[in-house]
Amino acid sequence: MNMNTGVSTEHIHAASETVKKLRSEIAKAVVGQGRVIDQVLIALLASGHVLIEGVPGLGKTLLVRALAKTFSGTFSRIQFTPDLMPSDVTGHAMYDLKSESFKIRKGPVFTNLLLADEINRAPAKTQAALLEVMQEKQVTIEGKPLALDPPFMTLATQNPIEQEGTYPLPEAQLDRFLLKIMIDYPDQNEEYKLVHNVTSNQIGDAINVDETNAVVNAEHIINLQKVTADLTVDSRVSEYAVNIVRQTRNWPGISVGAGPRGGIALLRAGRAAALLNGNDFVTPDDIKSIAIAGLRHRIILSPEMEIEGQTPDTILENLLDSVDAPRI
Amino acid sequence: MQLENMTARVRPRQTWEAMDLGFMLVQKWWAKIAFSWFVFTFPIFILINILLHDHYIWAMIAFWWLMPIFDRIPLHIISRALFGEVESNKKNLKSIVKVIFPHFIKMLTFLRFDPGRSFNLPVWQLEKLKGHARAERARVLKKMTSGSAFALTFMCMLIELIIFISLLALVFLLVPAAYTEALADALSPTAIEDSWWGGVSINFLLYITFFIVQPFYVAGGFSLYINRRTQLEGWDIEIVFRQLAQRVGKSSQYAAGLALAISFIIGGAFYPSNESVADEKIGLETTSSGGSLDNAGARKAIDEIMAQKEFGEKKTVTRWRAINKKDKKEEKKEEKKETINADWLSGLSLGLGAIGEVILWIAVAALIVLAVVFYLRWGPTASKDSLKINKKLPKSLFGLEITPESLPDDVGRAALALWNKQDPILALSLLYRGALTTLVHHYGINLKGSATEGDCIRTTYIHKEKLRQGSAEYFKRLTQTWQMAAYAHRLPSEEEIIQLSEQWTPIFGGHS
Repeated sequence: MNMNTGVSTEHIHAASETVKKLRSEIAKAVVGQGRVIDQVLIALLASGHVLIEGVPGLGKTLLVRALAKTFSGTFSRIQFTPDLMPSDVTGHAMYDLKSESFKIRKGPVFTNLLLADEINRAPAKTQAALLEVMQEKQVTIEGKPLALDPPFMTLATQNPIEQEGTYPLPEAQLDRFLLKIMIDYPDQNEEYKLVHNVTSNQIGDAINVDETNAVVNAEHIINLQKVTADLTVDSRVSEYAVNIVRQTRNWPGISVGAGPRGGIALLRAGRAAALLNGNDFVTPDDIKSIAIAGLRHRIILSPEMEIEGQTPDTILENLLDSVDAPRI
Repeated sequence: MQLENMTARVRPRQTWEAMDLGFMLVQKWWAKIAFSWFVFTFPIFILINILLHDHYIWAMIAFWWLMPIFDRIPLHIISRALFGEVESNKKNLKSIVKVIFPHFIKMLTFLRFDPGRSFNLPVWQLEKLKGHARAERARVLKKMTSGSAFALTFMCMLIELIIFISLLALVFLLVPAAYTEALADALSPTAIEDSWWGGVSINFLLYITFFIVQPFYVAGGFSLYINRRTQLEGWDIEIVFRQLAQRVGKSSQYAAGLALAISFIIGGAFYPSNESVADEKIGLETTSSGGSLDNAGARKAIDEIMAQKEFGEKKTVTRWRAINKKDKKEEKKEEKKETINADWLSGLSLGLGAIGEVILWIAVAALIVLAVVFYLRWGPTASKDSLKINKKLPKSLFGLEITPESLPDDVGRAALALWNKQDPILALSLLYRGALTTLVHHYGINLKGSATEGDCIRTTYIHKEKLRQGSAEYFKRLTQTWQMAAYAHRLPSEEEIIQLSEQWTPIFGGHS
């Protein structure tokens, strides 16, 4: 009766413990924002990319630096500006006078964790270059394909204010992100702790991830991703995810619903959520817990809802309230 | 009341002009009015603000409520001053104490919101009539004037508002810019309940507003009243005759007699007092001093005078007039028709009125019933049972039949039997279904179809208080075992399922 796949239960529990350690190490540097840390870890485990939306100064860079440090991974950051060129992201070939040959200079995407800050400030051409890298996980320079070292994860950020002079990401490209994470202000206690931590025994306000220790290495992360991908998903749970996605297409208030990629994202992220919760199987709860983050950037609200000031989150909450959870 | 002592010129005026006269009176005796008003009201203002020191808005409402009593102060002073009785401040204070208390309760209860108060106050305070006589008097006086009295009330309210806002603006103007925001915060309606100086400041500004406007309001109403009496009783004519009598009395008796004879003829209708009859007699006697004049002689003399051009002139006036072509018969018919129409119309209006009244009563009854239903359903005493009865309970949830009838009598034992028959999934399903049925049907816990297992656990923890002890924990364990079997396809151990089955009845059993 047990339909468990290749990975043993012990293996899964060990993986789950490792993930918990990762979480607690990141939490040492990033005070509060527990939900955001969880969702970033889910995306990492599911080998996806995330789009983080929030006002500046909420610790997005700190989060990425801390995450990179926990698995001794490399980290780079690109500040997207209107004059950023695709080659600034991916890299380019340059003529070396000494060797009289073209040499390839790799761009900042050749890293484990890439923070694409304010991705909507760069023109469509540059955005497309990055999104292609995210999808293909390889870069072609001078006709030569160069694969990125796994694990590779992009954390793109967007600012909900100051929309002037930006190039909003088209829906088709938003689809490439596994989750869209909303980062909000910390609550009072968390903020107090944060301010205290940052200002004690420190010169300036530089990002400090000294307290975060490396728990695993990049290899381990790849293993964790494999374990995640092998978690048991009952057909009823898959059906539940598909039902949610299909419902977005008929729901009043949503003019364009999520495509099949939405359902795929829900299952991938649901598996990672289950591992994060210490389970070796996926339950409808796991799917429901990441459904909003997994779908909010894949739907387009109808103009009436936009005018009424409804957000995708409230619409999706109502929608989830109407989809029957699976039972026998 | 000595009309000849009046300090203002009395003549029939338009209502607006009459109010102007009142305002002039206040300006003339402003110092005396202000003094008395201040002496009486300021201690009360302080007292109210101390007593209601935590509720400054209520303090101001209480002070405003007493306004009809305070209005008597300017009225008392103006009414006396108009007839020449200008007293010292001290005497004024003494006499005010006597007029301030009559009709105290009436003035502050059902007469408090009388929109024509300034006009009615003199009827109450100066004429001192009672009961039906007062009502009749007020009815006569009110004709033609009540509209203006209402307008005066409304205008004074507006002026009070304007003055209050102006005073507030003035305060802000004088406060340095750095403090204006803090001041605005302190004077906001929510903040004045917390800061005593904010509340007292606002109340003081309102006090100043009343101090400025209220005497004018009272005087406006009073002069309307005087004007109305002048119209009705011909005070102006009376005053003229009295002045005439005084003047001629000093010169020749003959002239006085003549004038008074004329006054008898012309003014008799307006002035039928004993005094004038006496004067008339004097006049006649004076006239007879030239030779005896009997009644017939007098009549003749009068006729002669009446035959003069000034009195007996006849005049023919020609003007155009529309000629009615219909003959009298038709006219009568028409009249009759109109009467019938009128009867029919009045019947219809009465009928409509009755129907309207019935509808109104039905609406009132429906509202009361609705209010009772709302109260029972959502009011503080609404019991959980009433909710339970009214709500339609779901028969199936998540595709599981969750009616009490669909369950065996002893769920725990039935589950064990299924386990023994090597059907563990069905056994677990029965336990889980039984638990959900009890939660929904017995405890009235609302579980939606979209609730996942995790949501159900959270809901039971929320309602933990009304469940049996250990229910939430048991339900959590049961759900986790169930999830493991359903989604991970891992069966629970025999020991585990026996334990769950045995514990089911003490925790969820015995309700059906």
